[in-house]
Amino acid sequence: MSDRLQSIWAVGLHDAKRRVRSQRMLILAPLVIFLLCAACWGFADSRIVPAGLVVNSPADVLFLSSTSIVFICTLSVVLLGFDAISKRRLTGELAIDLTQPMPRSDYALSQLLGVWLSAMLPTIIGIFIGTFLIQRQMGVWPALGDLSMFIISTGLLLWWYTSLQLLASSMARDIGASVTLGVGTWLFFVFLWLIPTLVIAQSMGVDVTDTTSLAFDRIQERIDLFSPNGVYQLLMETRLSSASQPHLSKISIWISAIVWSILPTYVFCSRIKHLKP
Amino acid sequence: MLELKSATFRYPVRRPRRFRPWATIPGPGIRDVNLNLTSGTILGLVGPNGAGKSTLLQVMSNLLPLEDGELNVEGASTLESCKEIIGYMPERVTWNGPGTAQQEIERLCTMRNIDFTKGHDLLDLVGLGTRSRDDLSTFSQGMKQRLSLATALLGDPKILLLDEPLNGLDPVAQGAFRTLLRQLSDRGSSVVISSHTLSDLERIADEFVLMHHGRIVANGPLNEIERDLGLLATLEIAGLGNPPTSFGEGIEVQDIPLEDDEDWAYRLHLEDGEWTTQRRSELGSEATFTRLKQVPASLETVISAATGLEIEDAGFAILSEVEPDE
Repeated sequence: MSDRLQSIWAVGLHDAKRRVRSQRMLILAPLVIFLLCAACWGFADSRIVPAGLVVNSPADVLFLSSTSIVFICTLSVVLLGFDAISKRRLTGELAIDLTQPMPRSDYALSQLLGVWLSAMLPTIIGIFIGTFLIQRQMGVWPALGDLSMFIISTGLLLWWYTSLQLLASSMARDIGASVTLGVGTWLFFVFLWLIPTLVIAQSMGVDVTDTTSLAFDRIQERIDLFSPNGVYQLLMETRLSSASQPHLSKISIWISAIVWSILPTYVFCSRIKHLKP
Repeated sequence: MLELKSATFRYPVRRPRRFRPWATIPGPGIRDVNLNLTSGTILGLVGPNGAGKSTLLQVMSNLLPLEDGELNVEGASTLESCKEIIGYMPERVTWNGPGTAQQEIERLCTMRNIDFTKGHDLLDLVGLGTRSRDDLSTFSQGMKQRLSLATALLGDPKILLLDEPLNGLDPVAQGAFRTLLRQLSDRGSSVVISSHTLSDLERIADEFVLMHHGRIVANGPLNEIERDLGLLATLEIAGLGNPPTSFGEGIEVQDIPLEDDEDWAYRLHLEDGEWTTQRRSELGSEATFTRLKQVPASLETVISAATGLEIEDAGFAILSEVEPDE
């Protein structure tokens, strides 16, 4: 078992190193790091925080900074991973990979790991620099628990997007279709998720003209369990003060996070198992 | 060493229906293929485009699952152990990076759990040692073929499956390639090498498998195939001085272009039988021959003879291969 894990890690690390050295990483990494730092710096300064947002602690800053993770880091996963399978399939390299004596499910996991590690690297750098900036602005370090939760949740979110993107990449017959599927999924969860939320809430008799009402808030949280961004936000909210805590139980949020971690990964591994290169 | 029994694999082809838009029907592939690959043999897999050569190699390399039939590999009990024994080189891998040949080979070494130095040695063996750190996008097609060959040789496989490996290789590299295959075969490795050109493989392969429409239409040593198909009936002769006045009965004689310093040249076709040594010796003891050789059969001729199709139809019949619902 440990040999298999070592092999998955070694191949994943190899792929991650190659992606880190790629041209697109040269463009994406500064953007990710800059945006995370800017978010931490900006949200930690009470003078420039947008009206209506309350920032009392470093945990609040981390929560608000998570919006930049949702926008840019998830997009970076899409841009780093859209050709992970589809390009190798087109060039014939996938056929060589799949004839190696490595179980296909292990190969699938190594591909996930490779894209995830490369997307995590600039994100982690951004988070650590951001932490220093928060301390500089507020004079207090974020609590270790808050920071750990921020990193773990972010890691999970990027894993979910990685598995969705690689699944799209394995299903697409060409690179264009792979980009479209990946960006389409990203757009749906980042920008369009509110539409199904409103439709479902309306159909359940909740007044959708008042999105600040408790009834809408409750139904929105439940629907958010079916969106990676929603689960991420709920996980982050569990570290906020009691007034801002989600109404859902922590267990249901974590169960949703576990399902999101397992289900797309399982579907992707299964897809690779049966893939005809 | 490797045995296929009634192996069948057919690619699904989409045929959307009103209420079943995802419906597919069995398309091209291989059907009812029986093959026994023995140790130390170089097997030439020949057939026109779309005959099923690549599909057969992919089935043998476990890339494609069998719909029907069996694949047995000697000494392999699991799929992974089977893959350890087999090295596969796909047709025209375009290796366009980013990355270098060294990085690619090291990645595959990691997947095979073997030492990087073995991979580096293989890059040296295929002549890429000095270019191993160059970006793959700067490689020519021939260099990419060499890299593909190096990847197939990783792990010292006992069975080597090579799909159109000569494409893009210059004549010097082709010579070196032939020598390498012979060395591997002498060491007991079995090699299956595909090509759509029979002449490419004549100098390499010990035995041949002829494919058409996903089926094996003939197999064995080339001269046996040609004999079985009645293709040893044509002989080219040329010589100096006076030509033989008579060739005997049942021989069709045709003038052919002269080569340097030849006074006459004919193509002789036996209406029945083949050009045995005795028949050749009967051609005329007075004549001075400068050329006396069996005319090699072209792929179209062999396929045509094996399938009974007209030569013009043999190459293009593959286009109508998709069958209606089964």
